[in-house]
Amino acid sequence: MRKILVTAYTFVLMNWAAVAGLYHFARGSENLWVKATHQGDHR
Amino acid sequence: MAETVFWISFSLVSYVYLGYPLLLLVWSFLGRNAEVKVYSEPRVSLVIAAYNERENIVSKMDNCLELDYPREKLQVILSLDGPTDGTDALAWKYASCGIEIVWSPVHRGKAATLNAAVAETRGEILVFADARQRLDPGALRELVANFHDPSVGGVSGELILCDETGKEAASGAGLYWRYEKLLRSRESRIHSLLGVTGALYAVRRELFQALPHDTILDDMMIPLRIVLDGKRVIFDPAARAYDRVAPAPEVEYRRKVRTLMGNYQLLARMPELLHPSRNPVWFQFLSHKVGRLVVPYFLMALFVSNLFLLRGIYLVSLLLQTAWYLSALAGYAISRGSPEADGYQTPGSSKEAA
Repeated sequence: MRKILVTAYTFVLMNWAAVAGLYHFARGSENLWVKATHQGDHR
Repeated sequence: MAETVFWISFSLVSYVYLGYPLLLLVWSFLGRNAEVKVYSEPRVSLVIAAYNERENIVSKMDNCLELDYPREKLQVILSLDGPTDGTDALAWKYASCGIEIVWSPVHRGKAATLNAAVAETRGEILVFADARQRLDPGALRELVANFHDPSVGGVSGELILCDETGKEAASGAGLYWRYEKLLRSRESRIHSLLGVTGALYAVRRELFQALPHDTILDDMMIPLRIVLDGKRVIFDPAARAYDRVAPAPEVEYRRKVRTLMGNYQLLARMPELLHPSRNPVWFQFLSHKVGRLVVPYFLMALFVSNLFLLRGIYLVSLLLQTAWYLSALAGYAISRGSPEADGYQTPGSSKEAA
């Protein structure tokens, strides 16, 4: 049950990330870009 | 009006999450590209860009020295981007082991760090890796074997996200990542990937073009440039890198915001991606990448339009959606209750969340 609930939450959160991504892009959050580039992100 | 909005939203969301993967499945069987690997040992330059990676750098350097590839054919370059946590002091110890250090006194960002490293490379094949993930010893051999095919310009390895038991994660962010990898493997069979895993990928040296310094997603810009130049970028699950799955969805969320912000930047920088005659993977790009950018708005439209339709099948739909969002709310409560949600930081990351 816990897995299903967390999966639902993850799905909603990942979709919300697209809205937040547009917000940051529109704001031109350049500092955030530079800082984030070394997150070791792999996607 | 509400009905029209409902069905348009429903169709689009269904297509992006179900229709497109099913289409890929059929398409990949019909138009399958046969990938032939031939093992050889060309000169390879392995490039690792690092900022504040004190916690990871020693294990990463040891991992590089353990790779199953002839030392005389392998150039390992560690490009340091003005670290402030002592990463450089640890890294310099490996210079005597043949690891080349490119060091910048100031923090310039990952793209600039990669450009500086690539300027020093001598290999025919460039392999890029991040500092955190552990590479399988045979990963380079597997990646390189794909370049026997002259149409292949780039190859992505597979990133395996493990849970606390060491097995591949199968829920939450791990499940999401598995779904992504399924799409990638199918897209690779048809033509090309739309992005590679930053943890491990390789490109032909002559196809690499310097990145603009504020590039967010090098692991999308580099492969998509190659695809636009007429080569293929494929996925090889035999070339593996391992990482820990984010223990809380919030950690994955921060990465995702950055990734999706990078997608917007990519669209602004490379508008030809939206041109069907310029982009050989235009349809896949639109369905996969652009689809993900617009789906949230259609999910909202689906729910709101459903509030005005309270009969028959629409009522069932509203109940299902409500149950889904309540489940997500409960998932949020569970997640907030776990100690990882706030406290977790990616080991060695810059500790500054997107």
